[in-house]
Amino acid sequence: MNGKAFFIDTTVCIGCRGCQVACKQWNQLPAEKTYNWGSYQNPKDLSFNTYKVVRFTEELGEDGKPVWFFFPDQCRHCLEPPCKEAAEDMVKDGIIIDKTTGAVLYTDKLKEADAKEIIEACPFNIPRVDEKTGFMAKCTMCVERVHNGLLPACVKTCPTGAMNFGDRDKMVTLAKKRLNEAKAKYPNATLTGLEDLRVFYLLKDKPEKYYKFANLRPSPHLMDRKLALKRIGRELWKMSGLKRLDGIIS
Amino acid sequence: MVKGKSFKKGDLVPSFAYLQDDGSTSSGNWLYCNSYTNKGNMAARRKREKEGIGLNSEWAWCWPVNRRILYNRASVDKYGKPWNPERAVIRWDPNAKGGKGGWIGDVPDGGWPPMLKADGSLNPKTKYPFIMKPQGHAHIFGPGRADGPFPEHYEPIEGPVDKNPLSSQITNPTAPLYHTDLDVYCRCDPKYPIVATTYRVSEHWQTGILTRWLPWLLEVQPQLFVEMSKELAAIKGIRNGERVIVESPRGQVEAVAIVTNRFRPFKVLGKVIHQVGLPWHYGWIHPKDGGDSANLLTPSTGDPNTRIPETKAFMVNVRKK
Repeated sequence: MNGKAFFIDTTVCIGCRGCQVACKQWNQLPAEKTYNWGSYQNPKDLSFNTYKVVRFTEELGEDGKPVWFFFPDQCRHCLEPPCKEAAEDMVKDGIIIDKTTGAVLYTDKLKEADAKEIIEACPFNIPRVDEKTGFMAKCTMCVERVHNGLLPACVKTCPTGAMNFGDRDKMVTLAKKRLNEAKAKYPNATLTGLEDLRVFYLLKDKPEKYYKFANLRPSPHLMDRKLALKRIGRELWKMSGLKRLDGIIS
Repeated sequence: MVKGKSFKKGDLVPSFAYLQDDGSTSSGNWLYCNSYTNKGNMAARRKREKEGIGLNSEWAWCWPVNRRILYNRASVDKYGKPWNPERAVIRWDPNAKGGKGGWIGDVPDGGWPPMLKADGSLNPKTKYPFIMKPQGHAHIFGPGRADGPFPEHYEPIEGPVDKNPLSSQITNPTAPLYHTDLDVYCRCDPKYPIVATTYRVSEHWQTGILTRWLPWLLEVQPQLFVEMSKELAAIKGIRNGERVIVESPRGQVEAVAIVTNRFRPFKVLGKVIHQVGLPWHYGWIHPKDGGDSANLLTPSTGDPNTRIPETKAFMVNVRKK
């Protein structure tokens, strides 16, 4: 279970959103009509045509200086994806895992599945559906680029080394190394995703300062997947800093 | 064969001095000649300097000819000894090049020998170090310039204070003024009490005339905004994301308010002064709802020598739409 992984070092992210635009360019996704909503962040959220969005939050630091938090949000390519599990009940091969990379991929067959259930199965609120066609979309790990020896578009374009990609074990090593280095400047720095995911974030402060992604929405469907979710949940729980997870899942 | 060196087809010459106008050599911009040599990409070098002043001559490459400090021969006395031996940029070694003498350290800005020979007599082969100046001397005051060479603090043409705490002269007396009906300036005017500045965002370039037409860039930064502190927003009753009017004595624009910790009120000469900031990339034609150019607000004045416009400090008011 090596395959590939992303390591996203938000301590060196400058919020330029080159990754976000490169993603649209490689995947030839149309721009959305956006409006400034009192934030640099745009589009406001992921969509069928937006696989990647850099989320912006800020706070006034203890030293009185403002702090930016940049969170390049994308599919985490879970080792055991709950969306795949949810899809399997409804359609065969709607969601597949690429053998060499471990990329979680949505196929056209997924159109036959109930999108709502798939969306609700994802603990990170990633999958999106095109209401007109019923097709679903999200980050593909640029799997066609990776199979041809190229980096994912977002990683290729990153000017600061925030976006990294490679063999999963090597990314784990890099992530731990960078965490050690980051601790000197950011004592609250944490790593997420090392156990269950193919996207690891190095965060300079508590995860909830970046983005509330612990939005597990309870549904009857999820009840029998409690165990699978718990595995993901454990990591999420750590990331979110929540005291108890049980209340959220069940 | 060029200047006593022989090259074969495909060789990279070691400096632009070897470029010929007879078609035997080719080069792009001469400044970048020898950024690639037969040894490869000089800009990819990563050798750190162990001692010295941090020239790091073998870390990357710089034009021209990897010279790190221009006019570097001005750092030595008439005999070629560094004025400060502790921080030598370059020095003349009379024994180098088999007794002919040569410069050690940075790539010399011209290889001419020092002013004086070792016996104190004038060396006729020497040349003053400021080689791009007509007399070879440094200039403190550029002839024909409107403004002088020495640092002085002047207040911008508009401002929230009525005196310059550092000088009896409040604004630069040589600042260019255009005297049209729109060239109205205000100082300590209660109608325009807020300092404004304009700037750029990484998604757009200059007026945005090129980048606003690129859908992927417009998607990320779609509209004119104005950033302000939480304190100012509270005074004005403005909520984050709300549309507001920003007006100066010269014009007004509509923008989306971004209320942020990144702007803080200043305390200037005992007064609390608020500041707002806007990007200047939006304007005419596209997109229809992108907002106007922030340059409608800015004053027409600037640096007396270069006319770089004074768009970083001027006075406005902000109000709810």
